[in-house]
Amino acid sequence: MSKLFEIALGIITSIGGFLDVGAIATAAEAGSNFGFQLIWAIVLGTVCVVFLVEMSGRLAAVSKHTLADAIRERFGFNFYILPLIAEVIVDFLVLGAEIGGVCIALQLVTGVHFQWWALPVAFAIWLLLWKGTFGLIENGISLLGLVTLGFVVATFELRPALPALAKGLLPTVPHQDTAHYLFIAVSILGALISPYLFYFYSSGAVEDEWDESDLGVNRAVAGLGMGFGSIVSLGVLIVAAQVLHPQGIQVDSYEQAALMLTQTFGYWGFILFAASLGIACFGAALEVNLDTAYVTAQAFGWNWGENLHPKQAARFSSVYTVFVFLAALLMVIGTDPLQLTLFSMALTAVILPITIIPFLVLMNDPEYVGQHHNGWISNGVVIFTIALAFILAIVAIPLEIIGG
Amino acid sequence: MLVACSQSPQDKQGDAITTTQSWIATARMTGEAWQQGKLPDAYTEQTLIKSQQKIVQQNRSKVIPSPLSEQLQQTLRQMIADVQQHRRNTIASSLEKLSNEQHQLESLAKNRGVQR
Amino acid sequence: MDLIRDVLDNQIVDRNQRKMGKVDGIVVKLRDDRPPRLTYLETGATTLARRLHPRLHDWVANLASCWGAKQTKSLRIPWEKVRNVGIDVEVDIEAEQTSALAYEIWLREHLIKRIPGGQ
Repeated sequence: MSKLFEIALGIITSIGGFLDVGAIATAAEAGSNFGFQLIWAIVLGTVCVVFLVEMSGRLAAVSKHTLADAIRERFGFNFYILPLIAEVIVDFLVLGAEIGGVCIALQLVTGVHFQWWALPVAFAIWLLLWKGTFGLIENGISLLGLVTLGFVVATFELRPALPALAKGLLPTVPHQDTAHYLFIAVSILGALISPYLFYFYSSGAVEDEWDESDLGVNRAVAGLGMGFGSIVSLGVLIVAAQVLHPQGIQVDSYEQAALMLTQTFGYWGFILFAASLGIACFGAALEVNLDTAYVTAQAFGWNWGENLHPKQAARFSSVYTVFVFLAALLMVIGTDPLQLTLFSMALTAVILPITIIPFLVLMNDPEYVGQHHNGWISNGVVIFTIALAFILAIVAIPLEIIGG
Repeated sequence: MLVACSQSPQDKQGDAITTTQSWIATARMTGEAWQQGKLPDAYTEQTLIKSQQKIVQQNRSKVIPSPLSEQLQQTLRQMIADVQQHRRNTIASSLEKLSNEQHQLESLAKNRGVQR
Repeated sequence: MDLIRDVLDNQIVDRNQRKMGKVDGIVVKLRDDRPPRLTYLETGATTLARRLHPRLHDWVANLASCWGAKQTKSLRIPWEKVRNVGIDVEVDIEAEQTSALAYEIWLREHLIKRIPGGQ
């Protein structure tokens, strides 16, 4: 019974935790610009992230190592410094974007410009980490994240044509705007396959002291949770494709995305969009900020843990305290939140190989995972997706920058 | 692919028209939803102002002939004033004008061979 | 046991399982006619920096000497104190009483405790 409860809770938190600024922005951008044509990218990204999240839980449960610890030990610090620096840079940009998402949500509702919200939002994030425990953050915020299911309800209300949806499952390259299409495809993959998820998830599993008896729960939560989570992401894409695309609205600012639920739910649709954006980004900001503290503390062997009192882990707590305010400065100086989001998601795709390849080596190393090593399917799916995302990224990012 | 994606001046003009159309559509959808009481005032005003700015920005290279672009600006100014003064009934005429201008721009785009 | 694989860069915990850094260096004494003897484990930013690049070592040492806890020397833990090498390297000392936690303690006293709720 307690296992069932654990699975249910895990699935609920994954649905809430799945959506972040990247998932919402890239799906809205994809749907409004290209209709259903980019559905395949969400499906492919989801399959890959299901495998990877399952792996990071399995690594933690079997080897008792977090992903960061294991990479550092297995490959040595001289190697680990590369993914570490890459992760911290990307976390910085992504955290800025998540804070931006919360600020935009507040701007939508209050009319007060987003720049003014950056520091208060950063303070709220910090306060929760300072006072809260891992369980509170993971479960509490994610439960609120269920409001994002509004997009799924809207999808059913809008009755999209199923054959058209099915066509979107097959990748096609459009004649118009090819560069932008590829860039959005890369951003979708980067938004769904975020390395912070794996560091974070494995750290959480170690904090909760998982062992081999948790492997079943882990598999169920990774598969069902991430699967359901991606349905919300698909919902955003479909709603944007049904509501914004026919009008010729191409989202290049969050204000435009905010209109997508008003057709279905009226005034409350607008509020629902703002609430979904705000809560999803707030939850993700907590995770990204905590992730940065995890990877840094684990890199140097400092005491770490969200369940510890700040004074028991002074360096760990200092990292998330300083980092969140630094990232908020990106918003204070007025960086465009949507552009920052799309750019940092695409950049995530570039750094995937440097994190994921050592991760795969660990998952095939009996010293770490014993008999629970990867099969060829999971290796194959992950290698294929990461390679695709990386190649698309190095082609599409320069093109997007040249094209403005 | 590189060749296909490099931007010619025509492409740039086409992009400017598409972006302008996108922001006009945004202003229209915002105005209509506000008229039906589906949007808060502050957001509506901000979004209309942003649409206006974006349209000016896109028209730096004068892709849209001046009578039409001036009409557009005039209509948007009127809409913003309507929202500021909470005149839900008078915004209807501005919306009609906007839709008219939207069609003019569409035929302009068609003549230039811009596809969405 | 493979020193590089099983010990270098592993987590060090003290006798109370408190994390106190990682194995940043291993000191081995070379002896005439006899096999070399493992003498110390080192933990500290300067040792770590030297492994990355010798110049980085000087730079980190300079930075450390003028900021914060001003701890430039790495802590040397005698090999006899190592109790167990598993997932973590367990040593029979009290972390709080060593210089390994100099910066942890400095930040605790100068930053964390000054923030409300940090006491």
